[in-house]
Amino acid sequence: MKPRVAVPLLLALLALTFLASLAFGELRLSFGQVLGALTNGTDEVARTVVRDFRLPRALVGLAVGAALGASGVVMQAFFRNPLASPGLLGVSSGGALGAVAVLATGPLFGFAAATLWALPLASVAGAFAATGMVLMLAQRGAGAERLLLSGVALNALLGAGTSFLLTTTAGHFEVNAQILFWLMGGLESRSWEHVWMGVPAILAACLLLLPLGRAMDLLSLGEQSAQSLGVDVRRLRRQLIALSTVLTALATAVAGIVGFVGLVVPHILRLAFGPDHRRLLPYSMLGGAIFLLACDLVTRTFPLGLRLGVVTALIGGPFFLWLLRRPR
Amino acid sequence: MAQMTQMKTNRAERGASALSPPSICAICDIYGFKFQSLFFLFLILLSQPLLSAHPQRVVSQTVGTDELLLALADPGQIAALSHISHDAQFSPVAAEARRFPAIKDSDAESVLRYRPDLVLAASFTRPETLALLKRAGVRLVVLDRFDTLEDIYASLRVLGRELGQEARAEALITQCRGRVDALAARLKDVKPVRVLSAGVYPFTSGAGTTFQDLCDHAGALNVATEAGLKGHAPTPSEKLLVWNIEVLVASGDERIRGRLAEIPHYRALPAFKAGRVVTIPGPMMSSISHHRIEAYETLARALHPERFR
Repeated sequence: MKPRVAVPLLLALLALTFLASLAFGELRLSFGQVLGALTNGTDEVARTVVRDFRLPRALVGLAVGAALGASGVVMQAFFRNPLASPGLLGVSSGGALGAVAVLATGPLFGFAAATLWALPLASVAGAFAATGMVLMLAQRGAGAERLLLSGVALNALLGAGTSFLLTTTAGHFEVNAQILFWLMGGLESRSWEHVWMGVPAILAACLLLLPLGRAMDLLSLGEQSAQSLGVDVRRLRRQLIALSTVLTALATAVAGIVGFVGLVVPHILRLAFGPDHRRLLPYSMLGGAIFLLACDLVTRTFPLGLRLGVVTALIGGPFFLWLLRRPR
Repeated sequence: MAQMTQMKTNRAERGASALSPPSICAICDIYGFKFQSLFFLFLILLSQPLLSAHPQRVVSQTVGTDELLLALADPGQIAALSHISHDAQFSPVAAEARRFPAIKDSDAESVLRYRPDLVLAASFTRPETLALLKRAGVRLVVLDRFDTLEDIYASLRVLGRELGQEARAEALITQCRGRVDALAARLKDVKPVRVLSAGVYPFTSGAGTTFQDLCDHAGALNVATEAGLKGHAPTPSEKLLVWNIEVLVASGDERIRGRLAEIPHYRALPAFKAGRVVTIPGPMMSSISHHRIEAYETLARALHPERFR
């Protein structure tokens, strides 16, 4: 597909999924009611549903999708490995463990400790700790296998920590339910607080990432080639890993662990529009947002309370397998 | 007519002894008559609980059975209560339960450590634990119906029979019926208040739940049941706005209000904005024993204060 069709196509799809997110939900609202709710309609119920429930949910979904899509591209460029993704290397598990630790200790300190802002901070701290650990573990040689195995080990370690906290809070059903929320990801009950918590910082990180596309292209030629072409590789790698961790951590903080977006979306777009990072980065942000909003639409139209992380994995899992089996 | 509590019991299978005859003979040959008489004395002591008409070392494996056991048994009949029996967060009778040991964990080994002659468990006890207890040959009573008060009365009767405390069970049932009748008389012809079971846990209670039973006795109309929800179903978000909820009923203490305020679909409700949230202590709300009546009274008092002046 020609790259110049990409932007209008992706923008159109994003507009479509975003509007669908505002239009569809538990309550059936007419197009007029939705429009009225967004402007100056008098229907109190429609106003609350669209403005306080659906709009923040869609904005959080858009930001989380964009963050995970971009983070996936960065991880793949950073490790020069098509299978790298934030989830695979334990960054989002670290973020979830941080959030779960706050939730689990909430009852100990009264529920004050588990308030809205403690969670994202702990999640960001957990994600950074996980990134630090995986880099440390895989420092020497830094071969793809070593990195991925370090990620597998770290994921197991962090998963054990989360499971431990889950068992220690087994008697507190509401705490347990919230922990499960982080583990399966989801956008229900997202409010304007979550929008303020996640969206501006994700937007800022995405904007900081966009100018690095060319340097990422050069990095894909190999570290030494990039260095000889004038790229400060050490500085670039520091920037990439910091921004990617911030994006993954914020996404996890406001929506829990949502797997496979960072893996699937960049690959589809790379297949469709080529590997140029200057394009792939913004496309993956748009594509991630579209994918996540579409998956969220599935969760709210499916009757049994299907979780977002489940839907993205149901789509992402088979794709991952196909990717592994594809002839190179 | 309420359904009778179904009881699954497991008769002791005490036929097979760990010591087989040849080994006894061998021991007798070596140590002579003195040891043999001591050995038989030991066997007689071991069989004492079997000879006694009613169990003297009862272990309760769940909080619900703790409540029933404490209400009926003589203190001397109780060997141990459930592992969370001492925790007031879970048990409405924690203070009383602290007079007795609590099993360390809910597994079979923790139960058998007290050498029980009767174990009380519930249908929600882990099946592995039930299987191990059965295999150990210990008498087991598994309660499996808790939906209504009649179910609880049936459980009280069965347990009364097991413990040899039938009269105490009947007296308690009569007392409970009296309290429920008095409450019903106060609430006669009252206009039911439209309520929803709310919480941080993303599920609400519809038909066939203990919450529905609570509503039926406290002059409340459960809007989730009215909307056709059965059992514990995911809490809707947008639909709550059109269910015309008058009061939210939450399990816990006053801190739950702050937690509910973080959830947009509760925050948007007129009932929540007007502060119409009734909190009922968790152990009382989820009790599967006669202590549930306290929850009826608490909710009825909160919803219809004019009837209690």
